Order: sequence, then C-alpha cells, then structure tokens
Amino acid sequence: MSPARRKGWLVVVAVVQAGLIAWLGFVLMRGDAQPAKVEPAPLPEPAPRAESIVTQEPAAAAPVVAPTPTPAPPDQPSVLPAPTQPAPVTHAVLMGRVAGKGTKQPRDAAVSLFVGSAGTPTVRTQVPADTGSYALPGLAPGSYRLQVNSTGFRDYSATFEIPAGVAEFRHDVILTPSWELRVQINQPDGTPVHEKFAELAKLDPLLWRTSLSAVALFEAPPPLLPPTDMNESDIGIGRWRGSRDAAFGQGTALPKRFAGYLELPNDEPLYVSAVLRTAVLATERVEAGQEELILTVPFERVLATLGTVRLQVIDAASRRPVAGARVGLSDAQSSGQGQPVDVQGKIEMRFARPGLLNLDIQVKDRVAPLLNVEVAPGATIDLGAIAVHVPIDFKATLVDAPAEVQVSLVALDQPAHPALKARGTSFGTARNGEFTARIAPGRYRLRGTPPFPSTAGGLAVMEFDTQNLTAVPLRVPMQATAKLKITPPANRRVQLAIRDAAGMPHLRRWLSWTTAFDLNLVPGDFTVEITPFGGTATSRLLRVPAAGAELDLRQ
Amino acid sequence: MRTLSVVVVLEFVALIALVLVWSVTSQAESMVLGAGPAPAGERAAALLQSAATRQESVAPATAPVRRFAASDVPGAASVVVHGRLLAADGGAAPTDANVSFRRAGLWRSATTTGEGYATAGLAAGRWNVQAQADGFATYRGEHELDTSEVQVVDLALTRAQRVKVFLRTSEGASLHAALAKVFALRGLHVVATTQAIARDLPAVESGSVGDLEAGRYRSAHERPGTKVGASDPDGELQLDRPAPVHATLLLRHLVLARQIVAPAQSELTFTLDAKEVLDRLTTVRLRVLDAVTGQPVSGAFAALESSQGGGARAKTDADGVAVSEQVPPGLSALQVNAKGYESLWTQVRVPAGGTLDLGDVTLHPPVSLRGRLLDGDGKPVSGALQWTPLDTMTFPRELVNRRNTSTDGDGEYTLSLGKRRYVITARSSDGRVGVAIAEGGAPQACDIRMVTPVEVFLVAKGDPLVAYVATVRNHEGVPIAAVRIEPRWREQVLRVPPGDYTLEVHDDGDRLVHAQKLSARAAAITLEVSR
Repeated sequence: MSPARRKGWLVVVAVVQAGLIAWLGFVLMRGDAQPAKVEPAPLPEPAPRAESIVTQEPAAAAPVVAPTPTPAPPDQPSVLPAPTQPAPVTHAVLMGRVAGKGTKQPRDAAVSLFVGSAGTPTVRTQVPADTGSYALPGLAPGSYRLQVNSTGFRDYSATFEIPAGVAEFRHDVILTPSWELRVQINQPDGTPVHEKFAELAKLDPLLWRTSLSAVALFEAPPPLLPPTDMNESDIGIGRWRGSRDAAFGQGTALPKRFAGYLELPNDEPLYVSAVLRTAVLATERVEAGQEELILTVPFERVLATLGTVRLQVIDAASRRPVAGARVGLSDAQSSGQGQPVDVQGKIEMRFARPGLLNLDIQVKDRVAPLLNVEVAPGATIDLGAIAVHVPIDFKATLVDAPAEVQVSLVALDQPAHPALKARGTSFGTARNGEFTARIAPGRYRLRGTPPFPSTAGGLAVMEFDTQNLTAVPLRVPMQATAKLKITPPANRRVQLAIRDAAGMPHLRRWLSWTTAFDLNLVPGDFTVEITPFGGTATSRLLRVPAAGAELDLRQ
Repeated sequence: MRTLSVVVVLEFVALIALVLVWSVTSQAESMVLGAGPAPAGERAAALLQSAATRQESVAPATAPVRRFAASDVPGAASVVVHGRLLAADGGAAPTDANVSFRRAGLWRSATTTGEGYATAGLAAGRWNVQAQADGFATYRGEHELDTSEVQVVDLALTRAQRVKVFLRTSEGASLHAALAKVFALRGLHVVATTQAIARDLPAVESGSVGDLEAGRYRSAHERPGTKVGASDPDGELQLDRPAPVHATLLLRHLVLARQIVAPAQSELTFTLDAKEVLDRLTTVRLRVLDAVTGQPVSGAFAALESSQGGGARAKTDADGVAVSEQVPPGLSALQVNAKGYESLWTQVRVPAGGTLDLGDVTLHPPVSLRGRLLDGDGKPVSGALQWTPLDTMTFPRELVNRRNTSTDGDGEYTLSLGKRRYVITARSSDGRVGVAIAEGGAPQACDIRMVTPVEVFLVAKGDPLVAYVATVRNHEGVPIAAVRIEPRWREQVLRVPPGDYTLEVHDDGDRLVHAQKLSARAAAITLEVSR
C-alpha cells in the first residue's frame, strides 16, 4: 500500500473511531444505554456474616462459641440489585453442615434450636442425609443453643450468640459416634433367646411382641425395675436398638447372634442387664468402651416371667356377661384387635409381659373404663368382672386455645382390684379448641396444653364428674402459664413428681434423658418430689412466678 | 503520518474502554430486569422474586446476599435458599407455610418460622417451588438458582377463596351421618379443577385421589377427637385459582357430583342420598384353595385395603369362600393369609357397584428363600427387600411395595414365600439397589448384587387427569420396576441397576402408549410420558 493511500485509511479510521467515542460517551453520560432501562443506584451496605465451626469432643460440656462478625468479602458481586432504600438486617439465617467424625455419617440428624436458656426448641428441622446441610430462617439477634441428635452419634449441644446486623450465620457440626455395645442374650447352650422367641411366635402369635432388651445403669439393678407402660423399660442410660428395630430401618443391622446393641452417651463403666420390660433376668458389669457383651438367660426363666390375666366382661346396666367383646393387653406404643371373650364374657390372656399394660376392651355401643393392669413377673391375676358402659359423649371447648391443643383425660376413680390402675388417654382438639371424647361414667382430670414442640404457652386444667355434665359443652379456660425449665441429672436416674398447692399432679415420670425441657405451669406454689433410682424420696417447695423458674436436678 | 497513527491507536484504546464500560452497565441492568419473573400461566398470581428484583415491587430486603468461604466440614456443595413469606395483598403474612423445592428425583422441604423460610442442600439449576399455607392459594412455580452459596427468594402468596363444603341428603340431613348408620366410609373427597371432570378419574390405591390443580380440600371428618355437628360444614375448599372453578365430589376416583364455584362464593352444597354412595360399593367374592391338594382352605382371612389401611376383611367358610361387603371401588391391596400357608399379597381392581368375583386364589405351603446382599467385591451389604409374585401381575401395576424385610448385619435374608416365581428387589441405606428373579423354595441361596442405580425420571405431559404405569422389563420380559404416575403427582422416578431393558408405559385404560429400549448406564435418564 502506498503511503498516501495508507494515510487516507488512517484518516478514515480516526474519524470513525472518534464518532463512536463521541456516541458512546454521550450515551454513557446520559445513563440510558441500551438495553439498560433502570437508573443505576448505589450498592447497598453489605450485612456482615459470622461463622462458627465447632466440633464437640466426646462427653465434653457444650462449647460456647462467640463468633466474630466478619466484614464483607472484597469480592462481593458488583451487580447486586439496587434498592431504593437499604433495609436494616433484622433477622439472620442460620446454616451449616452436620457430619460425622470419621467415615460414619449421620443418616437421620435432627437440628433443634433453642432461644436463650429455653427448654423448648423454637424451631426444628431434619438434615437430609445426602447433603448433610441445614438452614433455619428468621432468627433475631440473641443467644441460642443448638442441639443435634442422630442415631449412632452422641447428642450434640452448643451455644452461640447471633449479633445484631448479621444476615447469615454459619454453625457447622461434627458429631462423635456413640459407644455401641453389641449384646448377645443367649440360652446356656449359646443359642440366642430371640431365635427361640421367633420359633415360638410362629405357633402362638401372642408371643410376637415379646422380646428381651438390654438396659444400662450406673449401679447394679434390683430384680424389678420401676413400672413402665412403654414397650421396654425406659429407665436405662442411652438407647437400646433391638434387632427388630434394625429390621424397621432404625439403627445398625447386626449379625443374627446379637439381640441388639446399646447406644451409650459416655465412656464409663456401667451395669448392663437383660430385661423383659421390668423384670431383670441377668446383669453384667461392662467397662468403658467395651464392644461386646454376652448375657446368659435360660429360656424357661423367660417364660416363667410372663404372667396370666383373667377377667369377665359384663354390661354395667344389666350386670350380664357380654359375649361379643374383644379384649387385649397392649403397651403405650402398640395396639391390637384383642381376642374374643367366650359366651360367658370370660377370657384368659397368657404371656402377659411384666409391667403396666393397657387393658383394651372393645364392645359395640359400649365403652370400657380407662385401665392399666400391673403385671408382676410370673403372676396370675384374676381381675373379676369389668363393666362396660353406655358411652358418654363428653363435649368441651378450651376457651382462648392457641390453635390446636393436646388434651389428656385421666380417670380418677381407683378400681377395686389392686392390680388395676386408672390411666389416661390423649387426643388433639380442633383449631377452635373444641373436642368430643367418648368416655365411661366417672371422675376425670382434664389437662390441655399446646402439643410438643409448640412454644406457645397456656394450660387448661379441670376435674369433673360425668354425672354433673349437661348438654351444654363444658367451657374450660386456658390459663396463662409460666415455663418451668427442668434440667435432669447427668449421671443418675430420678423420678420427678410435681403437684400444685391443691394436690393436682402435673408431672410424674422417670427422667431417663439429660436434656433440659420446659413444663408449662400456672404460676403458683408447687411441691416437687424427687426419688432417686433405688433411693428414698425427698420433697421440697417450689415457687413458679409469672416470669418462670428453673429446676436444676444436676445439683 | 506517525502522529496520525498514534491518534488512531489512542482512539482505539479509548473506544475499547468505553465499550467495556457500556457492556458492564448493560449487563447489570439486564440482570435487574430479567431475574425471577412470576412464572407464566400461574393465575394464582403468587409472586416469586429473586433477590435481584424483589426490592422493586415487594418490599425492602431483609438481608443482602453475601458470598463466603466454603465450609471446612465435609459434605456435598450446597446452596442455601431463604426468604420471606409475604401476603401479596400486604395483609397478615402466612405463619404455617410448607415450602418445598423439587426437581427430578430431589425434594427439599424448607423450615419455616414466622419470619420466613430456609432450606439447604440445593444446587444451581432450575427448581420447582411450591408453597402452601392455610388460607392462601398454593404457589407453584419455577426458579433458577445460580451457584451462589446463599440466595434469597421471597415468596408472596395470594389469599385463597375459602369455600365451606356441605354434603347433604335430599332431605337436608348430613350425608356423612346417613352413611355412618350403615358404614364407616372414608374416601369422600372434593377436588377443584379448571376444566370440568367429564369422566371418572383413574383408580388409585390411596383413600382418595388427593388434591388437584385448582384447590385443596380439608375434610372436617378426618380430625380424630372432633365430632362434626349436623349443621357444620363437612370440609373446606381453598381455591388455588381464581373462580370460577369446577368442584367435583368423588368417592375415591368416582365422580359423584359436580358444581361450579363462582367468584366470591363462600359455601357449596352437594346434595345426594346415601343410597347413591352405597350403590357404588362393591361385594367382592373369592375362593381360597390349597395349591397342592386343590381343597378349599377354611378360616383364611382375605383383606382388601387402600394404601392407608382399613378396608374390608372377610374369613373363608368351609367351602373356602370369603365375601367382603361394601368394598370401596378403586385399586385395593389384596392380602390372603391362612395358618400354615404363604401370605399372599397382590393388587386388584374393584369396580363400582355390583359383585366382583375374583375366582380361585391358591395358597401354597410356606417355603423359604435365603440369600445375601453383596457388593461388587462380594462383601455383605445390609438392606431391605420387597418381593412380588410374578403370576399375580395380571395388569400394568406397581410391584408389591407395602411389605418388606431386612437383612441382618451379615447381609443375610430369609423370605417366607409360596412356591411361585418372584421378582425380588433390594435397597441398601446408601441407595444401592439389586434385583433378582427367584423361585420360592429354591434350594440354592439367592444372592443379590447391590449396585449404584441409574435413575429414570418420568414426567407426564398432556392431559393432567390421565394416569400412567411405567414398567421396566428385563431381557426376559420380567418386570423389575414399575411406578404409577397419578394426576396429583406428574413426576416419578425409577431406580434400576445398570443394564439393557425395555420400558413400557400404559395409560389407565391399559393401553400401551409408549415402549422403548432403555439402555440404563451411569447417567440419569429423563423421559416424557404422554398419550
């Protein structure tokens, strides 16, 4: 190309470029560059973020984490939206991961978050096993306690503070595997007892529910554990995972020779017993961290522990036998269709497991009183005649109920037979607090509270006699309550009973867990009775003001 | 000449700089404009807005999104999404919402509080979002997540039109009370749709077909401990779409009555007599025979149940005949049990009204099948097993999936079967699967190889009221996996061991609407189903 021609081209390029520069400069100065149509606005002030990553060591006290808010990262996106007014950060989202220490990973981790020192979680969530991630929304600044539970891992608890102005707060959790003690319960010839039960259950289905379990305690237990209406004794330390539990997807599957395993919270020497509900059949001491244990129980001894219950069902009005009844013995975690009575309304039920059993009597157009039978090991109990009644439709409304309320009705009339105990039943109300219950005549105590894990307060309490009821539904006011935070002892089992000044019971149960919990009570004075396992009861007075109170049984 | 060259170069540099500035500015603005529009076709008008747009038309942000370093704790990469739950009309916000994010084979439920919702375990890509709250229309939409670790998506729900539903006889009495005198019936349900339901819906094994696209029905009779008064409504319909919509009273899948709900209508009464319902119930007869001797089996129990349990139960007489009265129409699980025999489970179709004679059902003496679940290295794997007798697969249906057993810690299992041919499926807790075809009583152990499955996602398109059954068959034509796609769930997933199969899709009229070779390898497969 000749110099003249080259110069001509340079002039053309210079002019074109100048034109483009002028146009772009004009467009940018005006601020309406296509395709943008929105006025650019200043970036919002970033909210800080805080992180805490805590690993809980075995048996360690809950670590307290005071995270430091970190400044906004320098690489924040430059294209964040442009708010007309930067909004203040009022609530944070808590997020994190839950993983296991080592190769074992949690499959069913549940995260619970408690505000301050509350004993009732403000929010709970399940952690999907495939991601191990969780997120909890809408948390105001303040102190919190995070609790994580998962099968096969020790319970985790940590406290931390979410500072004001923090939008996102990270708290990762590494869970420590539990001490798993695998237990064989064998006959003297070495064959597993549960195989013998499985064999016999094919011949008699009544034995299907019968199985031995293992209970761990700090001390060697007496021959009889405290009564329970659960499927297995609930007084032990840790959790028993029977082979049957594993068959239903809970816990770890073990080779056939094992009856199951104990998932224990702390490495410390313990006494482990083979039990049939309340009856202790064999006990061995185990050392901390021990992996396996063999307990030997002759099968004849197991069979000798099962009881027999006889009764006759009669009609309350005519006092005649009821031939069409079905009667069953179940625990609080099971139910069944029962067995038919004979033409005289009589029935004999074999293989009754020791402990408290629900006596379920089903008769068309009749209702039976709410009863438990306390079966001593190997006992034969003749309960005599038990009357069924024309049912009473008990209608009531819990006034000012906070949405759904859980109601329990406990029979107050103590039956004549010493093995029979009055029991309760529970159900939910409608959202407006209304409910109808079909009950037998008699005296009852009604107690209504928001169901777990609701954080709402309120308590409805009333005793009534069905003979005083009218066609008008009973109106029971929900009273304002205070929270009594109860912290169970860590290294012993106690039974806790709480009664109000009028003698009405509000709690009576063995505390077999160590996590603090809240009890809703109408403010006032209460009597607290504490009975250590194998010890004598002590009582003390407790005042619960409107602001709430704490009962720390660790002291 | 040299000066001119320098000018051209400088101009060029300036031009490039200006173009870059223009480009960045344009990109920022187009993101603001383009993010998170309300999905097309959502007449419920719930608003789903990304962090980028919500400040324009919803409300000021609560928390700007920040990036931060990945966690030190091991785990899959995970996106957290959180946001506020708002009422679109600016009134009281929903307090008890259920929010979920879903896409092929994955479902993440959010945790909600009064201040909003949050969920973790998501990943970048397009997700179906659903939000339900009492008194609000169900929000269903799609949202694209990017790779940011924390993302904000506010959801504004529109208030639902609430319609009290009364079920009354021609004399004005309660239909439920009239039915309760003769039969404890469950399964009356009301569905809301945008189009009139012209025919009975596809039969289901559930107690009801569930809620369809235009609303949710909550029966007042389903709450234990609550007695519905004679003048009380039998339920409430909360509309997900603006009226008019079509409301249909169903007995399971059978249409009993239809109405149109008008805008602002607050009450709806279906009038029909108990006889019209009872006439739709069916008598089911069958005879139980010993498979070896051909003799009747007396004292056997035959139960016909929905997937929620309950149902009819009858005992065979001396001739081996069992007659179940008042069986609700639809798909029923048939269980036949007798002492000293196998426990037989299968599925039957119960027509509406009249008598269904299932003919002879043979029971074999129980025999065992033992085996182990093994991984690729021959090591034992713990898991759960389900088994289906192949001779009972007489129409397109799912495999028996309501009974299972588990292995022990050595991966060993024992099944109590009849002397039949079965398809046995196994699944381990880590998601591996295995399949075997075996005969009950086979002397040799039936070991099952557990492998990482290939996922086959099935998405139903077209008529939303058609149901499908998708069946995967092996090279012998034996079904190894099957799934139903019902009107309320238009997406399903099948998990099969890698291999070559045939996929068949039948509609609810048993018509083969699709068949293809299925080469299941490592990657997931997505297929659309329609007729």
